[in-house]
Amino acid sequence: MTKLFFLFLFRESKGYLFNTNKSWFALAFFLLCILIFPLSLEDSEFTLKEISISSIWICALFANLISLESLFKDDYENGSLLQYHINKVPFSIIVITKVICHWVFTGVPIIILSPIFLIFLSGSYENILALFLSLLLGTPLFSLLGIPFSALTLGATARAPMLIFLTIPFYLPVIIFGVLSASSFSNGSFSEYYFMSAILSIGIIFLPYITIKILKESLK
Amino acid sequence: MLYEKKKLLEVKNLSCKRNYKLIFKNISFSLEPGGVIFINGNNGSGKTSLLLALSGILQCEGIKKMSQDQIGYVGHKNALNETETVREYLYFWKNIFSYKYDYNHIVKYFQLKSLLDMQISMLSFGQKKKLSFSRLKMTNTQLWLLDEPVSGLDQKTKLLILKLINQHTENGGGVIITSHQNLNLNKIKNIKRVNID
Repeated sequence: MTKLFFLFLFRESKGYLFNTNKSWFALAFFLLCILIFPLSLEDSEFTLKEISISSIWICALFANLISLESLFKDDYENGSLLQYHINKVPFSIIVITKVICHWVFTGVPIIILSPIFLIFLSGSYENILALFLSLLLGTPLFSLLGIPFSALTLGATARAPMLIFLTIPFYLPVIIFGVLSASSFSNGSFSEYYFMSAILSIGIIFLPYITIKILKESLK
Repeated sequence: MLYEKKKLLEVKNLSCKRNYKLIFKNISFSLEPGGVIFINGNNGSGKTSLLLALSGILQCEGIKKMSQDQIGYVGHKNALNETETVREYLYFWKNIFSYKYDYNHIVKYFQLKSLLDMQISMLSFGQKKKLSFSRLKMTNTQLWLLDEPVSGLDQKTKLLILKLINQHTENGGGVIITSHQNLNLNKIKNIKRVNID
């Protein structure tokens, strides 16, 4: 089981590192998206400072969203998922390694880059830790919430728009509490962090399980 | 004979619906070690669905008894990751199946040595099919389900695959083949034909 886990983790990581449209595309989208805000709000530094945290969260949301499409697509289309199922490869390993790699290669770079962009947008060092912590809890939630929908839309004709419409409503609470937690950090209020941690804990347990069920159904 | 002499598969009155549409009805057959079942049928008659039902992907009504839980399946899709090299692909599946032997004899059999470091996306249809059969050879399962195994292949590759099927039955394995072509399986004594039109 451990051997299989590392085998899949290695294969998936290699896919993210060398397959340009997997992780680099999401990251490039995040960078481009974040550039829009200072360009469109050129004259109003105050507004830019006010919305800096929200804009980073919005960009993180969309970067995560567009990277969801490729999660199971190749494995489904080339018949690998079918072979895994027939050969009794545990789907739990496949789903868990996919989530881990999705977070590591799309979420983590965003977490690392966000403090730099916060300074770039707001012009101050305030809220760096608050944003860092909120994204640390929010980005794995994005990955976890996205995988069941990525599995659910497999084989659908208009997959990309369907995936966006289905996923965004579930991403909204994350972005609301994420932005709130970063904003209220300076007041010493951590309730939003606790709430996001609770949702993350529940998500880690239930969402991969739901995804496994959906994946097996999608093969029928 | 490598495997046990128990009946590999027994199917009684198997009926299957897909998207509320009846695909096939009351199919019965059994497969003994060393035997081949040749499933005939026109396009859309449900040959692939039958194989998927036998492999446990599709839920069907009827009785299905298998001596082994594990099966080998080669379908229309080759389960190839286009960004990998042939060597990486073979290494991956060798570990999935915990295949204890080196895969060099498989590489030799399918003449893949010169392709080992080539990316799968660069391979031809026939070469990809050979890789699919390389994976099958590593499964070490008695029962093989082959969906149109030789369609679109040149004569040389076709013979290579038929030889592999012959070898498998000689070792006591059983094969279920769907095809709309007549395959040269003269060496195999125990061939049954099932028509699902």
